[in-house]
Amino acid sequence: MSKIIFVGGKGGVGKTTCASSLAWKYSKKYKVLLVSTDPAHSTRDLFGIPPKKNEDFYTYSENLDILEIDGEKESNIYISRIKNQCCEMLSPVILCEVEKQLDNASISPGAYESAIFEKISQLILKNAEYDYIVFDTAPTGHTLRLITFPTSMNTWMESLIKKRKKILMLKNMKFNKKNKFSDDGVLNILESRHNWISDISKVLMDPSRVSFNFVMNAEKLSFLETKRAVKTLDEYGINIDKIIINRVLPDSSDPFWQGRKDKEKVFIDLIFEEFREKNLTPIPYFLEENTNILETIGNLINKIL
Amino acid sequence: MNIKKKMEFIKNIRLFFQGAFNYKYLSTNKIDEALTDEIDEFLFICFSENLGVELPINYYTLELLPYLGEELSLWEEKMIDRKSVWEEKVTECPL
Repeated sequence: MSKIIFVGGKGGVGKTTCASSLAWKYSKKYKVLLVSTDPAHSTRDLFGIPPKKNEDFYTYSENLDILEIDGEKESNIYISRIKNQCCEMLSPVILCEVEKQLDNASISPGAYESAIFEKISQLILKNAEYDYIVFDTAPTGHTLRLITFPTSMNTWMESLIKKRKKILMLKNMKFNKKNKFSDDGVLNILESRHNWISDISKVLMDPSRVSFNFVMNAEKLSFLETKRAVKTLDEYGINIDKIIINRVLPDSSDPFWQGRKDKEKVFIDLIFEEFREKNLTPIPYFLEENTNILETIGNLINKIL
Repeated sequence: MNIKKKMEFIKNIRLFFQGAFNYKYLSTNKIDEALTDEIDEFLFICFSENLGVELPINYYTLELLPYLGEELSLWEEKMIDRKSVWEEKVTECPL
């Protein structure tokens, strides 16, 4: 089974750079898939790969593939699968109504997010081709939703299963029949969904397979947001592997930059105080912005490999 | 016949008619009612988006449409016709 690495953090702190560096470093030895789940993708731009129309999968090198999940595309695939199934099972009169419903659902904002989550879970549960899957996630809120999603889904599914069983029981009573619950298509789908959610929860909670990494800058807003995110993850019992302090300024003779450096020092001290039990990794601010830097950053983040 | 016996006679007649004709006290109708309520609730959770309430599971319950399509169109008609919903619920109140 492939190892999963999540990289999250506030917008603009350098998540994509850190995720790409890690993926790049691992790809020296292993087969790696770098996945961007942010609806505004920038992973491909970082590697300087030209865009292709209707394409979400790119091969950068022999060992490194890049996938930019497109929520719209994924939800379209899902919706058209259901439509085909409806065509086979429903009468034409009802089909028209149901299709309208499906079309409405496919353009709702919640649908794209759910579709992205679905794709992520497929990669986590089914993929055996890659040794490592690195997720470059959208800003913090999105990452947290990803983790809390299975828990809320689980509750909904359980109550739906309970309700469906009651309906089946009442139907049997009404028509004086003894139909088995396992013959009911709706209940079967609900139960397979329920199993799917608990499988994902299990993997997400398993520190031997999944590692969560947060990227932050030494500044007020980023610090506060990371603090909240770490608290939420702790509540869910999810272990945070690393907190990367990105773009740490060098010493300077320029009074402006030295002033900034002094301000930053205050926050670095705060960070080391607040997250003293976590694994903190400071990364300096680099002058260049090219793929060579990925290797340097990758080495800094993960010295062991 | 004294008054006591008369009262009991009337009460029995009332009970007879209630048992024979009153829709609400038939056990099959009770099952029927419970089933309709359960189906309504189930469909409401699955497709609450139609009524303007978005739930995180709405995307995943779309998968149930091939199986629930027929029930759903009936349910939608019922939900749109508010008068019928009120009538149904008002008669359930004990007077």
